[in-house]
Amino acid sequence: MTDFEPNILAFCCNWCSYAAADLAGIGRMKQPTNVKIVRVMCSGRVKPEFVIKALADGVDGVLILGCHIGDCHYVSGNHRTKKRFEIFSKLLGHMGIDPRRIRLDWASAAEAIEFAKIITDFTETIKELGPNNYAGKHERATA
Amino acid sequence: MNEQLREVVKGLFARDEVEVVVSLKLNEGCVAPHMYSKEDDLSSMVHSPKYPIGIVVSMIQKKYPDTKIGVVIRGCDERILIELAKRNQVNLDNIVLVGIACTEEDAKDCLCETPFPTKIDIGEKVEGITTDENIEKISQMDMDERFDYWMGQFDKCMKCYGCVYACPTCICENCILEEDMWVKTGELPPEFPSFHLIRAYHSTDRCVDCHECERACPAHIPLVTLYRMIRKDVEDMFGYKIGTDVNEKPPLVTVLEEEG
Ligand code: SF4
Ligand code: SF4
Ligand code: SF4
Ligand code: FES
Repeated sequence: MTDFEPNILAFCCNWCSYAAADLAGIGRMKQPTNVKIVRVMCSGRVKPEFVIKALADGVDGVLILGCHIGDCHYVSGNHRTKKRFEIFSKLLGHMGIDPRRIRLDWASAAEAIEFAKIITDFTETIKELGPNNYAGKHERATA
Repeated sequence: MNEQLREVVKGLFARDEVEVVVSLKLNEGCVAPHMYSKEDDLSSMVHSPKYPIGIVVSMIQKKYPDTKIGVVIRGCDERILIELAKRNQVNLDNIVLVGIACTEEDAKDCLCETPFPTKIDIGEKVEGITTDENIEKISQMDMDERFDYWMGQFDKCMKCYGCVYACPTCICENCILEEDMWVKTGELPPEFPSFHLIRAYHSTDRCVDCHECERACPAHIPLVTLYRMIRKDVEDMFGYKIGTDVNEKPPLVTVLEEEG
C-alpha cells in the first residue's frame, strides 16, 4: 500500500478554508500533493451529491472544508453542511462505503498550519484505506 | 368496517363539516381513489387496500384550494399529509381526517411501527412492529459485506423509476436522478450506487415508511430497510420524527441552534 498515491478532492469555501490553503502555500508548508481543490463560495454549497459523484468517478477521498461554526460568511451555511454530512456519513456506513473516505473540517483564513495538518492526516487515512475500488469491486449477482 | 366508514362519512356530510370526501371506490372489482359529494351513493366506498391518498388530495387542493375535504386515512396517510403540508403541497386547515386503524395483518405486511393515525374513527389500534430482521442482519456485517449485500440488490435495479414515482413524498418537479450529471443514464447494472445513495439521502427527512416504493419495485429490492436505517439515525441525532408534527422543520433546513 506504500506506493499508493491517493487522488483526493477538497471543497474549500472562498472565505476561510481556501484562504487557509493559500496561506499554507505562501508559507511553503510541507504537505502532500494528492489534493485537488475545488473552490466554492461556502461549504453550504457542497451537496452530498457532489461527493457521490466524486466517489463514483473514482476519487479516493473527499474533504469538505469550511469556516468554523459561527464564522461562516453567510452566517449559517456551515450549520447545514455539518448536519448534512453527519447524516450522509451514516448513510455511507449503512451502504458499506467507509465513511472515513469523507471528512468535514473547519479552517479559518489564518489557520495555515491547521490546514496543512488536515491535508496530511487525511492523506494518511486514505493511504491506509487504499484505493477506491467500489465501482466494479463486488461479485455481480448472477440471478 | 366498510359500513362503519360510510356511517362516519354520512355524519360528516349531515353536519356540513365537509363538501366532499376523498376515499376509495370499488368499481367493477377494481379499487381506485374517488371524490364523493353529499348526493353520491356511498355504498361503493371501501377502506382497503391501502392507497397513498395524500397525493390525490394534493392534486385536488391545487385546483380547489378552498373546498373543505374529508379524507379517509391510515397511519401512513396521515404522515404523508403532514410531510406534504410541511412542503406546501396540501393545506391541512381545509382537511377533515377520518382515521382508520390498520389490522395486525396490515401492520405485519408493512413492518409498520405506527399502524394507526392520531385519531381513530374506525377499527381497533394494534401494536406496531418495531423489529426488522433485515436491519439486524446488515448491522452485524462489516463494511465490505454490507457493500456486497447492497450491490447484490442494486444489481437487480433496472432504473424504472418506479420507486420515485410511487413515493408520495418524492415531490420534486425535476428529479435529479434523471440527470446524467448525477446518475449515468443508459447504464445497467450500476457500477457505483449513485442512484440509490442519492435517493436514500433524499429520504432522510421525509420518508414516512409507507412502503409504496418497495411495492412498486419490480426487482424486490429492500429499499425501505435502507431508508429505515438512516431514518433511525436522524431520530437519534436530531430528535426529529418524520410525519408527526406539521410545525417541526426538517433538520436539514434548520440551523444548529434550532435543533430538536
Ligand atoms: S404502512 Fe402502516 S399505516 Fe400504512 S397501511 Fe401499512 S400498516 Fe397501515
Ligand atoms: S417508504 Fe418509500 S414510498 Fe414511502 S415515503 Fe419512504 S421512500 Fe417514499
Ligand atoms: S423501483 Fe426498483 S428497479 Fe425500479 S428504479 Fe426503483 S429500485 Fe430500481
Ligand atoms: S463561507 Fe466558509 S463555510 Fe460558509
